[in-house]
Amino acid sequence: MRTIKRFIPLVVSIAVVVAVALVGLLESAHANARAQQIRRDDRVSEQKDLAGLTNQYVMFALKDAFDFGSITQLSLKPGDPADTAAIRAYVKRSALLNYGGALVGLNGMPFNAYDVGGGLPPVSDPGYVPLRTELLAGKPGVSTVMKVHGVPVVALAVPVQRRGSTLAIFVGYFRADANPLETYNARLQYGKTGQALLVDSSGSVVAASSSSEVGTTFGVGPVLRALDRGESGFLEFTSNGKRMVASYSAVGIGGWGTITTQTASEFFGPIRSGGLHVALALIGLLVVAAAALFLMNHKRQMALAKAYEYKGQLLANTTHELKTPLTAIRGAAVTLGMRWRTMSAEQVDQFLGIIHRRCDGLSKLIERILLGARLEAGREVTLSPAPTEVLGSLRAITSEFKDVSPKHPVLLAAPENVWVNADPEALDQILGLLLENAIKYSPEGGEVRVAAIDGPRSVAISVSDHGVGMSAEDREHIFEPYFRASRGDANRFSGVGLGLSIVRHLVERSGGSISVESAPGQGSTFTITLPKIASPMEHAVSLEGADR
Amino acid sequence: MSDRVLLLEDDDDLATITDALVSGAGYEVVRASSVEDAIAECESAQPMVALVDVQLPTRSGWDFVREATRWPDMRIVVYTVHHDEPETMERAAHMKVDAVVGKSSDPMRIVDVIRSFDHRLLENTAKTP
Repeated sequence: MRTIKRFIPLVVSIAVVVAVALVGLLESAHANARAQQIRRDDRVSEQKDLAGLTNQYVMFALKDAFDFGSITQLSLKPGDPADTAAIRAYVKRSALLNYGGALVGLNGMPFNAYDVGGGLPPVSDPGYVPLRTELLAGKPGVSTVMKVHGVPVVALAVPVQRRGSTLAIFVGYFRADANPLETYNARLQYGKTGQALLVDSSGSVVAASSSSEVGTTFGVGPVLRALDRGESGFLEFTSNGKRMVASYSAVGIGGWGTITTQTASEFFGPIRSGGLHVALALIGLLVVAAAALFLMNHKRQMALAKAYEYKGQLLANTTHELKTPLTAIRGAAVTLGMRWRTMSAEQVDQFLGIIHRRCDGLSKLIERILLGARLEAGREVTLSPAPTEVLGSLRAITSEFKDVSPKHPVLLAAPENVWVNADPEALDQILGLLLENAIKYSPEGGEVRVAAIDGPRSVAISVSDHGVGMSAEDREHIFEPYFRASRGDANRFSGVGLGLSIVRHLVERSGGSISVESAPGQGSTFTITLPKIASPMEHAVSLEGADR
Repeated sequence: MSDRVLLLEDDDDLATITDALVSGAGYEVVRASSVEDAIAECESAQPMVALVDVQLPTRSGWDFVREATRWPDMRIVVYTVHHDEPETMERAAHMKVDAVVGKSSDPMRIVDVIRSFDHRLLENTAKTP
């Protein structure tokens, strides 16, 4: 249950990031779809304009042909050279019907014709079928693309009327691969893959932006069927494995239609790649956020695990530290109880002394654990800074240690009359813990040096030993609480692992700093700095001077 | 076999108490506070039993146990506050250790253990009708 609770914040954070990313992705996809639709609509609208222009152009050509047949003085006699000359003159000046012309009887048989060369499609050509159908329906006729010796030719037909009566049919021809419609289409540019087409009712290409396409057949059935129904629209399809788009619009004459094809990747490219960039950016953000959350949580978990490990060690160390004095107290009490009658007064005093000393030690140990816990928890510890003479404090504490640990010579070197602003009890505690630490890690007989150096604004006090020292890695953590336990020497050196942590807290709360120099087997030097103040006696003297 | 008991203990108070209890039971206590001192005492005094504290500031009491194989007749008793730790029991099981006694247990327990290794007592008991 605790494990599940521990992961709840991580899971919630990841869920929030994923939700934000998903909303972003959905929003991006939605915007992308809208942009694509706008692009489709624009293309269809453009296509309609193009179809409208084509319609007007063809209508103009039909009107022009009608005017020629109805206004020009034509004899309508088969083979009349004057009529032939008139047709030739018309073909020469006509903008669209530039290939040839023919006068056809109402029975469908031509009786006069002219062409620029190569001949006209024979009457039997199936391309005339839609043209005839339209004429019979009373509309201008438009053929499909017909081939004359490989040349694509399209025919338009209008009635030749006199006073409202149709006397004959005029059929005008243009080369599908060389005419103003083709020139116009050839100039239409749609990226690198775009193709503008004008197709007839059978799907044959009448005009194209690439003239080689003229006369070929456009093979996308749904588009042709839609054009046949007179519709305009947009279609996505696959051709030769490529995703393609086609916009189309019916011209409104002879089942013709304009079509623009392009690869889908080029047509949607900027939008889709833009959407892709947004999606990639969001996915990247998601990955970074998830990684950051994971690392943060991992770091926290590691810190917690370390704290748990340290606390566990504290408990183990404390138990050991309590066991030894309790063993001594109990042993002394049992021995006294059993043998006090036969003991000398000195022996009784010795055993009572053990009990007394060990009880004091236990009290100090408990006080230290409580102080360490209070400092670690960030609770207030009342310090009362006061002018304190350094040499005096050092003398007092070193002499105390000389008595406690006679096997370790403690040497002192410090200038006289140097004062710091520090709580005297805290200073005693700091120095006592540093000396205790130096002695603990020194071999028997190992010298411990205490020195003070007077600086301009602070006083540096160092405690050096020639003990076991420590590695660079240990130096980084030596002021962390309970760290001692992780050095693997718990069975060799006693202690709860709080001393140096307490020293650091007290020094820092006294406005000073602490550092350590050490190497394995080379001993250690702990140096603290404390804010220096002028000697109160000098202060008094200067005040006296001021009074005078 | 002598009636001497070697006491390897760096804590003066605990050494004084154990000394009083063991000597009170009729044994001569030879004290050492380091592994080196203990080895020197073994060579000169040839104790019957060695009471070994393993937590020492320089060389560990386990170092002494390792070297004590030089005196095969001497019984080794590891006398420690770490008696209830698996690591202690495992090390003791793999070395020449005759008993592990906790310092925090009944103070007279150590005297009972020493007595259990005292052949003279066994011989006297056997002779008793």
